Amino acid sequence: MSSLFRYASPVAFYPLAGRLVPWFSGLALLFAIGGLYLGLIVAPPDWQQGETYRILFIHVPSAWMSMFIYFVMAGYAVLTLTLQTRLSALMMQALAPTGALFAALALATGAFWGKPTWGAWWVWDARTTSTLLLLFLYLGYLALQNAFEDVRRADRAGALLVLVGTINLPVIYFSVRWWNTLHQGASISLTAAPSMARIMVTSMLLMSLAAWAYTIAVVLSRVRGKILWRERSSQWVLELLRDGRSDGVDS
Amino acid sequence: MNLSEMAQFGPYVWGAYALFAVALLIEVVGLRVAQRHIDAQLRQARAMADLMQREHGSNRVKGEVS
Repeated sequence: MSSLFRYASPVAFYPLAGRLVPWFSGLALLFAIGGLYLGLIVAPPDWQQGETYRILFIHVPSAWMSMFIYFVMAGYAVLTLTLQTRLSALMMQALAPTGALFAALALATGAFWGKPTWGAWWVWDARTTSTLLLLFLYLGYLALQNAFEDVRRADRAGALLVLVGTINLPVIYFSVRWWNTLHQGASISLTAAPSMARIMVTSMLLMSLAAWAYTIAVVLSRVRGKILWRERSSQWVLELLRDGRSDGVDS
Repeated sequence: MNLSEMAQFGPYVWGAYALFAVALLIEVVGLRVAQRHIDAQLRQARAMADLMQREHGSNRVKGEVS
């Protein structure tokens, strides 16, 4: 347990992140190849939606990741506000751009699916509107983070905004149950058998694992840059620069 | 499934996949560029500090926060 706390320090976390990035990049590539192979080549057309349903193999993982990343950010926000750990604020900053990207991709790929299926690129449905709100929360956090000169104040203000925004997560998740929405209900749940063919579920899960591994690789890579910048006056960063080991993902 | 069958997926499917791939590619390339930028800035600051130390015997650059 104490070794886990050791990695809460940027000095210890920086080289660990560097070692993990290539592994998660490789995993992301492997899962994506498997998921795309099953989803685009092996899986047959859907009896109702034809070929259009294949968009769901990227739409659903994007939507899941956009919510999951925000959930993780909320955890780091609690750590930032209570324990005031330096790394937690940097992790929030590193997660936010990828979370925003996945939220935007969930909306955009949803539009590509909605046009041939619903006949419209966009509808003010509870699920789509609450996901749009999630994208605005990410963008708001990024804007707020850059609005302060004092980084400690920026960290606390950003953490507070993230915590307030968590109210939106159950709204997104339960929106298809609470309201009569055009967006379909969940096809996969922890308590019931999936309402999709096994090959489709497998492809979707592989693509979700790829998105998960990709996110970890990108976020660890980004947080390394943020650690270096925040700790630029520290002796260990100066030594790293002197040894020429600060660039790229290897440490 | 062969390539001609995959072409039948239509513009919506391929449009969505192309957008997805381009977005992730931009993020990865952007991240790489940002890393190089940070590294160049840090190296420049380090070189400046070394120069100051040689000339004045202090490695603290004006305005630098320790």
